[in-house]
Amino acid sequence: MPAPTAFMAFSSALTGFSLVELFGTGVADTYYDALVHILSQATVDELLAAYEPGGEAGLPRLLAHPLYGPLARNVIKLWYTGSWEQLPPAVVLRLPVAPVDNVPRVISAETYLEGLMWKAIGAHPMGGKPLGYGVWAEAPAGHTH
Amino acid sequence: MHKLEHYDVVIVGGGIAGAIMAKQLSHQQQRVLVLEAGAGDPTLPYDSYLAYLDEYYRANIKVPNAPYPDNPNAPQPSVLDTAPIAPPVPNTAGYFVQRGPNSYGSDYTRALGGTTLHWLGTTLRMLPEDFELHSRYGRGVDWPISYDDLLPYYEMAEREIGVSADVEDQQFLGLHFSPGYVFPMHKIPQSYLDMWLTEKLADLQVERDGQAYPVRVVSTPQGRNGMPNPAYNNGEGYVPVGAVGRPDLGQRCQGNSSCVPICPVQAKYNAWKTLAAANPAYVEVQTQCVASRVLVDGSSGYITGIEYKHYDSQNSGAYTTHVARGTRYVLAAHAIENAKLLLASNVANRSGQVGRNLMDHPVLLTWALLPEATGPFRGPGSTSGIPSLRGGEFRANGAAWRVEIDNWGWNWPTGAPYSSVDQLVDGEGRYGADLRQRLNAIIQGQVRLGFLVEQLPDPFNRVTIDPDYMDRLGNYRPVIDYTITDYTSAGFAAAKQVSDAIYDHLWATDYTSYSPADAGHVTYRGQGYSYRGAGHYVGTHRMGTDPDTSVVDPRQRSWDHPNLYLVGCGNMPTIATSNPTLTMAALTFWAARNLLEDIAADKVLAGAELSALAE
Repeated sequence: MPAPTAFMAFSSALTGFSLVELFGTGVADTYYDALVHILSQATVDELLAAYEPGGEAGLPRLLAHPLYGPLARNVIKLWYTGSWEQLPPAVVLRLPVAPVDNVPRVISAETYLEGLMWKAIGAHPMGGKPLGYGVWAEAPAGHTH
Repeated sequence: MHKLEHYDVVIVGGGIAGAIMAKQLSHQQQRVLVLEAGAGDPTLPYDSYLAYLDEYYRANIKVPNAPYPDNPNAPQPSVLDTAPIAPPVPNTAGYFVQRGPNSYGSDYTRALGGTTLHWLGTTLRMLPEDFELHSRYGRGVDWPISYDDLLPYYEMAEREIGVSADVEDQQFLGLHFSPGYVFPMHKIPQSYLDMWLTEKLADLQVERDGQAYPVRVVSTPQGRNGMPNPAYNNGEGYVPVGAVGRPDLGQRCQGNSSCVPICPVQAKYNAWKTLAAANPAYVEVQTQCVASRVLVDGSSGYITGIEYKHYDSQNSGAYTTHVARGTRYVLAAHAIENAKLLLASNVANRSGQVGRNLMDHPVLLTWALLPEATGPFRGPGSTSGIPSLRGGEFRANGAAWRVEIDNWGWNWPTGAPYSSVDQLVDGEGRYGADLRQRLNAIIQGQVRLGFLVEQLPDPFNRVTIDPDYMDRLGNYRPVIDYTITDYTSAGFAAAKQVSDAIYDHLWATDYTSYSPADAGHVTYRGQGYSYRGAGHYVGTHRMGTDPDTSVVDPRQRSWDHPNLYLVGCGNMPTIATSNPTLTMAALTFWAARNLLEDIAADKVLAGAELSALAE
């Protein structure tokens, strides 16, 4: 289902990437669906509800929360790596998460290729979106020699 | 299952050695059967390669074998199976039964195309002195052939693999080339990091055994497509070989930065290219056929057949047993698999050397943060190295090594950039723009060196078989005994000293750490060192001049069986410091030539007999 505005705002604040960049990955809906599938709609709604009142300014507090903190960090890693990271047992105990859904995995080949960490590091995903012959000889982007 | 009752040559193994054999023999109108244990469509459809790529994208842990699915009927080792070993309890976690005391850290791939599917593509020649290790330094053994003997076959291997390099860069430590020789393609552009290091290290000298050596950054010859050299082959030039089934793709390296485990466009050589270039009228390739026994005629010593187990599906252990027969036989199954098969069949082992002298390049990784951004995670895994200490008098006392300069940050030692994300998000609580910037800053400074350290042939480093350890089809699992000797550890110690000197010189912060909990860990003179495997299985059926101490003769033929050739890195008496695939490919061209010579000699003999009969 289409990723709701609240999820996108939350994601943008967590990742440091603009809404345009996030939508540009083409996998925002995939991530939202994966979260709902793994955590349940109720948990995702609860997480977003916990974020909304404070917004970006409230993130430090939310990230320190024993339940919302680990969930938010998993949302960051989802966007950065395209993979689901296993939630710690203490978190799982409090959630209706099926063990089969909480296994570490790449969500899809597409999410792997859209991982934001590759953009963040000024590179491209290993095995995809190549820069072209010999570009590795050029100075890294933003470099002033 | 195979089609003909009788072949001219039956080849076991569909990797680079088997493929070169099949190509060379088929173009001389020899009817060839290739039996490949692993999976793979013999018609080599491009889509089946893309399926590997998809596996890679979706693999949670992107180890070298990640794209190539585990197959219980032709199991393969995984680097994820390695662990510290506490003898006498072996590590039986994976395909190998590792008895230690040290862990053998390498994997290989059992599928059509073999480990060239995931090799890095480094194609260095051995040094002339590497062929004379014993005479020069009193260590190991000499080869029965010299660098100059192998030189024309190096050229054939460089053509087959499609090597990119410039001759003028490669003339060091006695390496020499045929007059006017150029590589098929110009050197692959060196990375920004390579050039940065070239400049910074130009004035650095290091010492080993009291002698000074420069730290010279040199472009590495690579089996990946670059710009063709018009001067190649006396001005005929060279046309890069693209992807099998999609020759328009992969004509140049695009910088996908995933050579290991898979080049998405096949700009990097894999053995499919050689299989595709064989004469199809004379080659039959059968996959999912695991050779289980070499049959021999007791009185003549001639090999009479290869017994193999054919399975229809990787999902079931059901199989049928067959025998492929030919006039001649070539084992090209891999250094471990060849040795296993010979031991299981009790053939070719008059010397008792089969399975012994197993070597690898234990790789000492060091990693640091540079004070400047150098653009890692772009381009081929390695485009340059530091070969200055590949040879020298110090080899009398300790192992030589080559230094690989890596272009992918801390990917190998720490799993960066994933680990860097974890560290910043979980460890440091970073998020948002701060996370994004900080990640960029730490990755941009990442540098990693790899020291590929030489091992000596040691009869107790070996693969054996044991009926207590079988795979699903009832074939033997390799049992590995492996010790890192002080000679190699002395190489580790010297490597770490040079690494320290390099990082100090660069004002880099060294983050290298070794732990006794690492799978490969040794202590030498009070210091701990952790090594990884290089995938360079060498030495299990070595060549030599004496049938009592070697398995094959200098022509690569079994001393014991006149119609049996062995090929692959198992034939190499020593490992030296170069990644072995190019040398192995050269030896395979040499073996193919010799096998064809045997065939021609038999024809002359048969002709003489016929004329004798006619008289």
